[in-house]
Amino acid sequence: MNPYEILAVHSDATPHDIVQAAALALRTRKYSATEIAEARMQLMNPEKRIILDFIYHVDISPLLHPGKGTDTSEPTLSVTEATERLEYLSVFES
Amino acid sequence: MKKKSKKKIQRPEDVLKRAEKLFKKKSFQAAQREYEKFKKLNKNKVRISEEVVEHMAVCRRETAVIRAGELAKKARRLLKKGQQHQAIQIFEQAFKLTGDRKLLETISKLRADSADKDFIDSVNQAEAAGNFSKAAEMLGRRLETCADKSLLCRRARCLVKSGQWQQAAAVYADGHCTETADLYAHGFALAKEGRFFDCLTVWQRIQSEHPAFTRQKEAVVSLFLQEAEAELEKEPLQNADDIISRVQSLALHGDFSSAAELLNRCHLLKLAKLWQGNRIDEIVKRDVITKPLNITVLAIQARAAFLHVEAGGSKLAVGTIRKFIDLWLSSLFVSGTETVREPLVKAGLELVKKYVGYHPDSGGQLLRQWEKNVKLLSILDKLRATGKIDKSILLLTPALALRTGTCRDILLLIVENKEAFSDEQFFLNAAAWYSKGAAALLMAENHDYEGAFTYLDKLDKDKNDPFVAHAVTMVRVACGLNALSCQDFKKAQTLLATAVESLDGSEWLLEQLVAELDIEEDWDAERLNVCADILTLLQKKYPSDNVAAALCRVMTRRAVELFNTGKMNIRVLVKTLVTASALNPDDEITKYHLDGAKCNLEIAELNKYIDRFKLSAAGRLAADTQYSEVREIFFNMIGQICDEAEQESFSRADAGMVLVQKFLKHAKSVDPLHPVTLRLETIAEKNR
Repeated sequence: MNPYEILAVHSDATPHDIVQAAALALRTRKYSATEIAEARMQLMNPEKRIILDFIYHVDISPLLHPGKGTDTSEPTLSVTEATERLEYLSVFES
Repeated sequence: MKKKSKKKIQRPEDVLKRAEKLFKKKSFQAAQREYEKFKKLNKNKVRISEEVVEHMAVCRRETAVIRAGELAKKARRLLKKGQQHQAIQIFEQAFKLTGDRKLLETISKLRADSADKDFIDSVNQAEAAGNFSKAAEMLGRRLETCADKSLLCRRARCLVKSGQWQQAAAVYADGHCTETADLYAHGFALAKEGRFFDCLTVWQRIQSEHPAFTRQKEAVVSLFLQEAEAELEKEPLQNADDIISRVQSLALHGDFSSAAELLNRCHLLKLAKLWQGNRIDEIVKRDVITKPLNITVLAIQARAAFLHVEAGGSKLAVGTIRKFIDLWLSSLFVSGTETVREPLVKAGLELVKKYVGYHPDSGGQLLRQWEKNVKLLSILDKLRATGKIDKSILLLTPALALRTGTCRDILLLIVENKEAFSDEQFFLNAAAWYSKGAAALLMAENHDYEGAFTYLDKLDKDKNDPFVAHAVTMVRVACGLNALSCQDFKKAQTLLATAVESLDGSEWLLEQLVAELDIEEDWDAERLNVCADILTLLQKKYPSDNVAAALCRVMTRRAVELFNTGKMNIRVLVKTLVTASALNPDDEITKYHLDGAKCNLEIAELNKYIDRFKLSAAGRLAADTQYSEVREIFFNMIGQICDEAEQESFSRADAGMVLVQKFLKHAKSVDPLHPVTLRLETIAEKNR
């Protein structure tokens, strides 16, 4: 289980934030007390925290909006213009 | 005098008589004519019987039928000539004569056909004039009263040609029109409506490679892709699935590179979505690795693999752990900073060790793979830190480098920075793992020895490349050792002998080979034969204390095993052990076996001398031997002689005494203080 998700905290959460978040999580009862305690313990452990930070935080924005390379080709027509340019072909008329 | 011709006056009675006669002969037409003549002449003078009236009616009817038949024939002739209108008139005349229902049906059909022809002519004229809108309208009106499929399709095509895309698409939507021209027109209308995916779906059914059509299809594909791109920009994670299914259903990726790119992007977005949803198992199952590598994808895959292995524990297959090793280490060396790398490497290794704890059989190979990869990536990272490496090059394990096509770049860096490698052997190994032989090496590492062995053929053209050659040798060693463990001794012998020929002084390989050939618990004679042969080759080619020691141990084990199973006699055993001992005089086990064998050999010889009554030779052997066991056997034999002498069992007393004297002499030379010697002395004294 993702401890950040269980406690609803970000990767930059301080120990104080984590304690508060654990208390809140216990009140909301979305996760069991054992899960919350385990998540709190993991995030309070500095060595473990390095590993957890690495594992659970991936910046997926490069996948959402990949930068487009420099396009040296001719400017493309808009969809409307290109659609208008389509001409009926008579090649299939008997 | 000229005779004046007289017109014969016909009497009505005679005419009627003739008519009746003709009626009886069933000449109804002639009879009818006569009846008509009678009517004109009679003027009610002669009374007509009811029978005659009936005959007259029959004649009228029959005459009409005959006439109608003639008219119908004529009409049909006209029809054949294409004179439809005249034919209809004649059929109508015939119908008036008889009122025949069949004739009426023919007339109706002909009238309808004529109307259709007129209609079609009008539509044709409209189309020829380019007035497709009018043609579509006419066809639409006609379709209100007649559900003709061909007219429906024709109307749809006219709608397309008149630019009424929406109406045309609506007409085509019912799927009745399946002619290629209709499929094309349908797709075209959809494309004009901006429904590019629908257009391409319809056009998929057209089997045509006409250049104009192909061009237009490509244009529509391009529009579809543009539209899909725009959708992805708006809602990347939500639309990816839908776009994947659409692109896949059109099977475009093979023909259109931009479609393949789009599909690839959608797959990556799907991966991001799975990551956001914590769907770790699905991410691991998808095993998406792009070529070229996308760092974010690697990051997701590596982390998912970690969580998967952490949760999966003992249930996972070795292959999953292998993949985890590649992904995790590559991810750490591609993007992890040095400060966080150490604990992360440690965490990964702990996972591997935990798995090895469950599956000790696979432990060696997994830990070797881990170690090899850490070593390779660490040296490459070291090069990067000294600025000797191009920062843009991704440091990947050989397996991932092979999958993402970056082997060549890494190999170039290794070769260009040879001086950074302190050890020539390590340099050669590193280069081999990123050379063209990497695939074969990886197969061998994954225990696919058959695949690796087959792959060697593909490397034949690169055999002059030193790194490929080294990789080939490494693969041969791995395959040979595997054949050895599978008891395929012939194959093992061939592969290992070839590998030894091309070892080129590779100490690392040599050590590996020697370690594998010299296994302490191994007592299989056939296997030992191969090991001894290969070690002998090694000792000839690359003599060293290490190889000599291994060969000594293997030779000893083989000789002892052969002797124990009765396949080697004691003399050969001693000879072999002497040779083995010469290779490594300090080898305690060989020394121990040699000692025992020598002792056994002397005992055997002593027994032989005794059996042949060669007492001098036996005595000399017992005197010279260093083994107390040999001496004891000698004295046992003399003891028996003493027993016989004391019991005076010798046939001749003097002969017995000669023997005692002889034995005493030899016994004294062996051990003068031995109880048997002393006993012999007493017997000799008594009988003196």
